[in-house]
Amino acid sequence: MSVKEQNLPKQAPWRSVLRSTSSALLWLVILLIVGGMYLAINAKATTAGRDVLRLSAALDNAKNQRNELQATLAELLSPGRMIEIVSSLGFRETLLKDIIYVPFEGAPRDDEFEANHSESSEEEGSIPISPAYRETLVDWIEGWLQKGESE
Amino acid sequence: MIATDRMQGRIWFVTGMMAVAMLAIVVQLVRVQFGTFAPIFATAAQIGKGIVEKVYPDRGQIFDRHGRLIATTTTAYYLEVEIRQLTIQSKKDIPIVLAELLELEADDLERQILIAEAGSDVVRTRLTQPAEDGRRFPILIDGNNKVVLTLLIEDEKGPDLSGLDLAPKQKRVYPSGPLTGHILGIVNQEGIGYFGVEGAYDDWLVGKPTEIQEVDIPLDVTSNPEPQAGSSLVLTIDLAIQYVAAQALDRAIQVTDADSGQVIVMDPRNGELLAIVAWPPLDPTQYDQWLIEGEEETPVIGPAVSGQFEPGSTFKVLVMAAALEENVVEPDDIFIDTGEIEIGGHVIRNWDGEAWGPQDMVGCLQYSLNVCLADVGANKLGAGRFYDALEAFGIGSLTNIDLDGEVSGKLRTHRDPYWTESDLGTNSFGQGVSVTPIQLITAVSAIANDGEMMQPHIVRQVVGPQGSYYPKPTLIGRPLSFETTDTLNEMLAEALIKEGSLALVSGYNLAGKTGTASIPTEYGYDPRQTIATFVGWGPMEDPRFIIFVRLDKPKTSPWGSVVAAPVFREVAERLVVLLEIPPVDVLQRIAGQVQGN
Repeated sequence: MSVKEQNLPKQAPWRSVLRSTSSALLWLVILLIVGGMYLAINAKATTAGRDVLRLSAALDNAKNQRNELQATLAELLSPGRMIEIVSSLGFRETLLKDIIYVPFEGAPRDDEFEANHSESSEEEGSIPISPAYRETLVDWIEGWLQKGESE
Repeated sequence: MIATDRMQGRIWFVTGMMAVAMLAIVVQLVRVQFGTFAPIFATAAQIGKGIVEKVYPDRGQIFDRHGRLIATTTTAYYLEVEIRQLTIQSKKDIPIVLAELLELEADDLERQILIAEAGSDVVRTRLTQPAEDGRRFPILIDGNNKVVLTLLIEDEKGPDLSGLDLAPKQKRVYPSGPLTGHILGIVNQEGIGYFGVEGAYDDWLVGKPTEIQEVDIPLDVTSNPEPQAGSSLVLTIDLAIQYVAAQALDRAIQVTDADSGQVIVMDPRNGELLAIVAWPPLDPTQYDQWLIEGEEETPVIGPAVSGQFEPGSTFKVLVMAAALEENVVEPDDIFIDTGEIEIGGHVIRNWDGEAWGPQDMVGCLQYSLNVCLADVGANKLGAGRFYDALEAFGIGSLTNIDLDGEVSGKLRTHRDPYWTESDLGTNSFGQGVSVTPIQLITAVSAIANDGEMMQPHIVRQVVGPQGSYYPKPTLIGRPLSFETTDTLNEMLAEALIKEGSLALVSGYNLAGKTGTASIPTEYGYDPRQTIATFVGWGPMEDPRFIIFVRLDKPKTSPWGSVVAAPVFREVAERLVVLLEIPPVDVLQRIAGQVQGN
C-alpha cells in the first residue's frame, strides 16, 4: 500500500450498508408500485371479463325469452285461435250477405308488411364503444398535434 | 490439503446430482411432449384454453304477407351429465329430480349415469328417454321445465345436482302448427331444411356459423365474432286465406270421406301463391312418419309440387285453348257426338258411355265430353300442334317454383319412341299424362291472365344482413293470345252457368272446369275410385284469384262437379271478402257513376 492510498479518507462501513439497503428498498418500492398497478389493472380486467360473461349469458337468455314470447304471441294470434276467441265472444265470420259496398274515393289501403333485419346480424362495429377504450397513445398524440396545428 | 480435496469431492457430488436432476427433467419433458401419452396432455392443454365451438346463428324467421310470424327459432336444452363433476349425492339426486319434474323413470336415468361413469373414456353423457317403439331419443326441455331446473341447479340448499348441465340446441317453432306444414317443409335435428320453403331457402335461412373459443376465465375473455344471422322471409301466403282454404278442405274431407286433398289459391296476375293447403295436414315438428319410404299409401310432403296425378277433364280447358289459339275450332262449331271415337286403335267413350248428339264447343266443355275433346285434339289439332301447345303450357316441365321437392310430371309426346297415336286421343281428355297441382294451376292461369303465364312463387321479400331483396314476378310464357282467352273465358263461364254448377258464387262472374280422373293402377284404371278436381277463377272482369281443388278417392260421389266444385265456392265466397272484391253489380254501378261524372 502506497503512502497516498494510506492517506485517503476511509468510508465508514455503516454508510455502504445504508446505501445498499436504501438501493434495495428503492427497487422494492418500484416493484411494489408496478406490482400494485399490475394487480389493480388485472382486477379491473377480470371484473370486466366476468361482467362480459354475465352479460353475454343474460343477452342470450333475453334473446331466447324474446323468441319464445314472439312464438307464443304468434300462436295466440294464429287464425285458428283468433276464430276460437271471437266465437267465444259471440262474433262470427263476415259473410258475403253481410257486406254493403260503399264507393269511397281515396279509401286507405293496408300498408304492405316489410320485415326488419334480424338483430343478431348486426355488425359488432355498429355498437358504440367509448373512445376511452379505443384511443391508443398514438391516436392521442396525433389528435394533440392536429389540435395544435388548427390553433 | 485434505480439506480442499473433500470440498472438491462435495462440489462434484452436488454438480452430479444437479446434472442427473436436469437430465430427468429433460427426459420427462420429451416424454410429455412426444411420448405415448402426448395426445392426452395436448387435449388437457386445449381444454385449459377453452373449447373451440361452432356457433350457429338463429335460423331466419318466416312471415306471411301481412307480417304474421309462421316460423321462428327458440332454444331447447339437452340434459347432459359431466361425469367428473358427479358426487355421490348428485348421482342419487339427479335421477330423482328429473324423474319428478319430467315424469321419467328414475331407475332408467340412474342406469344411464352409472353406465357412463363406468366407461373409462366417457367424460360427458347426454340423457335419453325411450319412445313407444323402443328407440331412444335425447331428452329435450324448454319453457317452465328449463326455468325450474336452472333454479334447482343454482340453489345451494336444494338437491345436489352437481354434474347436471343444460346443453342448448336450436329448436324450430311453427306458431300456426299444421296449417302451414306443407308450405314450410321440415328442419331436421341437424338444423337442415327439407321440402317446402325450409328446403328451398335453406342456404339463406341458416346464416353463417362461426367458430369461437369458449373461455371461462374472466381475464381471458375477448369479444367473439357474432355469426351472421340467417335471412328472414316474407311469403306471399295470406294466413287468413290459408285458414279459410284449410277449413273448406277439412269439411270436404269429412263430408266426402276422401283419402286426401289439396287446395291452392294463386293470384294469376303475378303468380303469387296466396294459400296452399293439403290433407292430411303435416305438423312440421312431428315429421318422422312422413319420411317412411316404401309404403305405397304414404302421403307426400308438399303434394302441391310433388303429388303427380292424371288431371282428367280439367285438362280439357288446355286442349280447347290450344284448338282456339290455332283457329281449328270456333265456339259455335257443332260436333256430332256418337258416344265413341277410335284413335290409334283405341276406342274412347264418354264418361257416361252415352252419345250426346250435336254439341257446340261450349256443350263439349259443359258436359265434359271425352269423345268431342279427343276429336279436337287428335283430328283438329294433330300431334304436332297438340304437344307443342302443351309444352308451351309447361306440361311435363318444372315450373321452378321456389318450393323444394318439385317434380315435373310426365308427358309422352309424339317425339318419344314409345308414343302411340292412341296417346294423343287419351291425352286430349287428360288421361295418360300426369301433372302436379302447381303445374296445372300455372298452365290454366294463362287463361285467366290474358294469355300470360306467370311463374308461381311463394317468397316476396328476403331480408338479409345486406338488405332486402324482392323477387319480381316473372313471365314464363305467353301460350295464348288475348282474343283466345277472351273467347275461352266466355265459353267456360257460360258452361258453368248452363250447368248450374255448385261452384257459382252469387253476384260474381266466375269461370272454371271440373275434372274427374280415373286412377291408374298396375292392372289398368281403377273403375271404383277417382280423383275429383276443380279449377276456377274470377272475377271475370279482372281475375284476382285462381283456385285449384283436388280430392283423392272421395266416397260419397266420384264426380268433381259434386264434391270439388262446392269447395271452390266455399273458398271463393270467403276470398272475395278477404280480398275486398265487390260484386259485379257494384262494379257496374261505380263504372256508371264514373261515366256520369
